[in-house]
Amino acid sequence: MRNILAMTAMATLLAGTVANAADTTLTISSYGGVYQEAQSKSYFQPFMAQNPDIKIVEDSSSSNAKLKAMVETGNVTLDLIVTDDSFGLDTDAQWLEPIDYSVVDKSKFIEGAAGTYRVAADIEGTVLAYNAEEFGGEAPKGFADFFNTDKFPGSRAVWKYAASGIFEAALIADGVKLEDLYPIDVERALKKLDTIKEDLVWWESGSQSEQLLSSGEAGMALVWVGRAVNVAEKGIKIDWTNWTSQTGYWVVPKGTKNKEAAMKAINFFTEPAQQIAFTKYMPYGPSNKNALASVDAKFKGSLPTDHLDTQVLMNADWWAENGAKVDLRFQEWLLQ
Amino acid sequence: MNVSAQDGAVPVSARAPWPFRVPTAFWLIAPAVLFLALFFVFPLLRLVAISLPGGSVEYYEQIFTTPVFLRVIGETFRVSLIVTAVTVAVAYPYAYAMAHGGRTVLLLLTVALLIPFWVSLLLRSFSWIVLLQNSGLINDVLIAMGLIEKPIRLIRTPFGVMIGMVHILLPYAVLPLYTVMKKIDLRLVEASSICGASWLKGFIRIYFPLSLPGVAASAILAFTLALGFYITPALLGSPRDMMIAQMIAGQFNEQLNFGLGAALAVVLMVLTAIAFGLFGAARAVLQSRGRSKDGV
Repeated sequence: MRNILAMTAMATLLAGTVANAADTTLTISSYGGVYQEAQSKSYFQPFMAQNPDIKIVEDSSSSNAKLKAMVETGNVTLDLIVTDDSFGLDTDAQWLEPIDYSVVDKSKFIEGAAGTYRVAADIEGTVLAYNAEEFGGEAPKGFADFFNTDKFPGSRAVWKYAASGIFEAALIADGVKLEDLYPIDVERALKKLDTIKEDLVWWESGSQSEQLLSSGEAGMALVWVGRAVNVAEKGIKIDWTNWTSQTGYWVVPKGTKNKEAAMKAINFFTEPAQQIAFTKYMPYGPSNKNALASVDAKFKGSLPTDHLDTQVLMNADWWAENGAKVDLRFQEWLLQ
Repeated sequence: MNVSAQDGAVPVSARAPWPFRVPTAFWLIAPAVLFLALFFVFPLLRLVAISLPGGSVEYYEQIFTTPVFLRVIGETFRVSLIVTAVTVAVAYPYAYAMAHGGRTVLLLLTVALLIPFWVSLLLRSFSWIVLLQNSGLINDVLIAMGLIEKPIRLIRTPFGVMIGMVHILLPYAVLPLYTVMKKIDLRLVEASSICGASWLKGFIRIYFPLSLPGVAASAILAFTLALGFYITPALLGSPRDMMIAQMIAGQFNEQLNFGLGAALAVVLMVLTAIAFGLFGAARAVLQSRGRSKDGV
């Protein structure tokens, strides 16, 4: 009996020290899966090792809707959240804390990666992936070939989301120059999409896009680069002639109690060492320009940042302003 | 433990009467009522409030003036009705076999019904993809057998949606039918055949009318659930088979337009309630007609 008492006392003491060691608990919500595992290994764990006073608790899967609801109900339980291009713009100011650039070094980022309310975590992309066996050794080159059903017959898969880059792809295939892409000519893009509408298969989740490609259901597809690399073993190749930008961002919800720690973490996560470590696990490029040249050899050549010269940069501000309207028109077109 | 306390149950009349007459049954349902109030009624009212920002009906106006929304709502009801009809039609003989086919049949059919029921909805929809897609099992087998040259389009069609939804809804339709059918006294059908009626006549005149409450219950359950389907039509249907739940999710998750999403949800709910109202009215009319006929 006495032993148990002593042990309990010891345990309590120990627990007390542990609690003291981590004064701040930083709750981070990311996309889950291999992506978040990579972040955990290259960002979160090194950060905790260096900052014993901050404990990171992971949550998934992050959602813009959840963030918005959380801030609006005043019950902010997440401190740092991964988001996509559609969120974290100036129009979303009411739900976000501005990035504190006295803590986060703004000069280290590649162009467009550091916004008022968001900082790029990594540079992703939506790429043209194709089945190398499908077209008799012929490989599609660029969005023009994606729309060329004479030369490349069969189904092609696309994300069923207006701002997925499909409008941009259609216009580029139709001969629109990069500099004239915005404002998007919605009707022209839909007219171009009409030409392949019967061959389009829509995907709504990343795993579905992999499934469509690897089963041979779709000969080519516009998919997230990470998903294309996942099925590389099944003979899926990436064509980098044209690709649309896609980015993962860090945002800090308005009203978090751990704002300082969150800013500190953002700065740490975007340092070259961590960004390079991340490319060991994921085929996503660094947002820190000083890390670009030293990415890990594992995915070198498959990182979007290795192909920045052919990137079609999506105009997030245009989409923020026109997204709702275009989405309705897109849904209407889908139903026709 | 004091055994005698268990033996000698206190007679109800011996208890001190309550000052207010609360039926004893109320206390049994009180936890459920509280739970529903907290986790259903309250969020529902919040949803209605979100759809009416500052009392403005702008979102409802938008819904009823935008053809896309109206079309998808119409399509949702159309698909749900067809799916319900097919589900009940498949469930009826299944439940009949369960109720009257003996113990072994009952066991086998119950297992066959419930095992897929425990598998996640997403997984079941993905399994259908594996079977139905152009490069899927069914097409591969048919091509290998030389029955077809090119794959038949089974997936991303209304047929794909139908088969996926019916499969998922089947247990919900079978179980209420089975409960009703099990209670039907087969001696009544026997009696009819003694009086010279054929099996078919006995079934139509005796058995089927007695099973109607089960048909109604399973149809209502299947229809309500079908209206809210989201992932199955998305995975197995074409974009033309879009259902309203997909649009509601899109407004919440992609557009972050909670107001419009909430308004769409409220519209769906009200229309569903109206559909049930009509259904109930039709049933009442049919029943009263039945009674007056009996009276004649």
